[in-house]
Amino acid sequence: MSSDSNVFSSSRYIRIVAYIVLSISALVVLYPILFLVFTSLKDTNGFYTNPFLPTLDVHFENYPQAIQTGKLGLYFMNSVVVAVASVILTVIISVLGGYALGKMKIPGSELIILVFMTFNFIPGIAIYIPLYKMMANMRMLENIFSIILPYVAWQLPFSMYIFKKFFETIPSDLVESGRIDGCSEMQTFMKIVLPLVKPAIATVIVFTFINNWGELMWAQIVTSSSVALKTLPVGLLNFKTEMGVQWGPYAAGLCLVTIPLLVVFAYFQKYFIAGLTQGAVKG
Amino acid sequence: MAVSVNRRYAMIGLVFLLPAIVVYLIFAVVPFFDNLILSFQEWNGFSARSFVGIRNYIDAFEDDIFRTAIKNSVFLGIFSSLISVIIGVLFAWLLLFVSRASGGLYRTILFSPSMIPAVITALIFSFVFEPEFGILNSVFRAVGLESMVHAWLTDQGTVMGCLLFVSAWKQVGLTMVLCFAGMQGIPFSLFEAAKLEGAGDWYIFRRIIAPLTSSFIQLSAIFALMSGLKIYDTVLALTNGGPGNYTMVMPMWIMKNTFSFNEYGFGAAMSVIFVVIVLIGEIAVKKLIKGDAYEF
Repeated sequence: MSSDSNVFSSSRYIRIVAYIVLSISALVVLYPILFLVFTSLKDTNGFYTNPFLPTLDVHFENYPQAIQTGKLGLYFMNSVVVAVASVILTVIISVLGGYALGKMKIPGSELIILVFMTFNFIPGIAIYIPLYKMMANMRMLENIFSIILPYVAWQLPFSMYIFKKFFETIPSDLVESGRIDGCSEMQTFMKIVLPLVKPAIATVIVFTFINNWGELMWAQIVTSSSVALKTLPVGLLNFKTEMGVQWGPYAAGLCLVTIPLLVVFAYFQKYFIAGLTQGAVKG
Repeated sequence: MAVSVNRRYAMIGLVFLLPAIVVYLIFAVVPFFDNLILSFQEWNGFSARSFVGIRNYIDAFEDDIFRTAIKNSVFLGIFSSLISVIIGVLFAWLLLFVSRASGGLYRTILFSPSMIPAVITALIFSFVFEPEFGILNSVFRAVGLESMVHAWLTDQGTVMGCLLFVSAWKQVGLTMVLCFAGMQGIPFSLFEAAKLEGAGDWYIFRRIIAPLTSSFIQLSAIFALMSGLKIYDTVLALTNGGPGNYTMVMPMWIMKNTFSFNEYGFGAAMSVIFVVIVLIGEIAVKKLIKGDAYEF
């Protein structure tokens, strides 16, 4: 739907109001982020003399200082390993499960996905307490899989739901033709089905990545006794106290985490939205 | 013949589904039921677990801080979802009136907070609310409104408002984007017909747009309510439950009792109460906003 020539463009008064309201709101959202960028490039003196606006006196040294003092390099690597591994595993497991539920005539497939989705609403803390003790008993707490595997599990309901919905839109004839041509079920899946499902895979990747990259509570519980496994959200929480009143390096640390995310996801947002909208359009 | 073929596909299907079921059982379903059992037991995390009946639940409801936490979580859930749904739907509607290019830009900017992890959002806002050099107080000083200068996060009169603002700041974009997607699905001819009949923009919004996007509004209300009820990261990074326990929320108090005070059974009981409150919230939204989906 185009907006340039739509029926609403004749409403001049409300158009002006729309531009004003949306511009002010965009500013309210944008300014704290811009302020962070400005501050990350100032030394302490520059910050106190001119806190609001950018200066020409640019100090890049805040960035290396933030990485060294805050161990941000280590936390960043941990977060990357956790996010990438959990996203890959989630996609593999949920694409298979979604295909089974959407295209393979499993009895009670609607009920199965309903059970998954119902569990999905349960707040994590009602699962973490026994799970933590289970991990401790299995001596898994020093192992990064104690973060990765639960992350995979908790993203499965929504991801399978997306894949199931998507597979249901693929004509059965296409799948049948593979079966008739003598492909095994796995060959049919790999050669015929998988190439069609790329948009759904993109949605699931973006979704699970965002959720796992920012997850705090479970990461906090699991890494409470080991610095080596801490992920970025956990590390950043301590970062503030470590940095004291050094606003420049502190802001630089936050920028390092925020800006790449914003750039990447501004690009991917259509997949994110596509996934969310799936939940609203039933049938 | 056909039956046996179907059964064979179903068997292979179960094999495809098996990894998902196994992983989910181990890391979600089994711990959840174990947690239910634990809520009727006393356990310090090391010794043997012993049944104590419903004592943990009685303790939970007699615990002043937990009652404060319930009140705060429910308050943040209800009001942040109300604010973000009202503003989000309004923004989505206003987006219909701007040009395509600027609409895309507004959407990307207003949606961006939804993609930043909640911890980081909260830490960014610790710059805004910081009493000495924070943005908010500096602005008030700069324009000469010294009376508006507050210790925002340690003053009981302002701290809940600040948490509400941050939580809504993060949630509005998502509501807007979802509802805008719903509005784009409405056939254009409906608007044109209404215009020809002489309907005003507000009338079109109330009588056509709002009812036809109700399933999107319902979904975003559920998302907003859930994120408000389950709020943890934001509160932890901004106030850590303070001043005192004034802004304590449910997950934070459960975390403290379980993992700092080693009261595993008590923590489990509180988390079961938390689950019940979340489920009631979800059902309430579904009752309040009818989510009829339309096919055009």
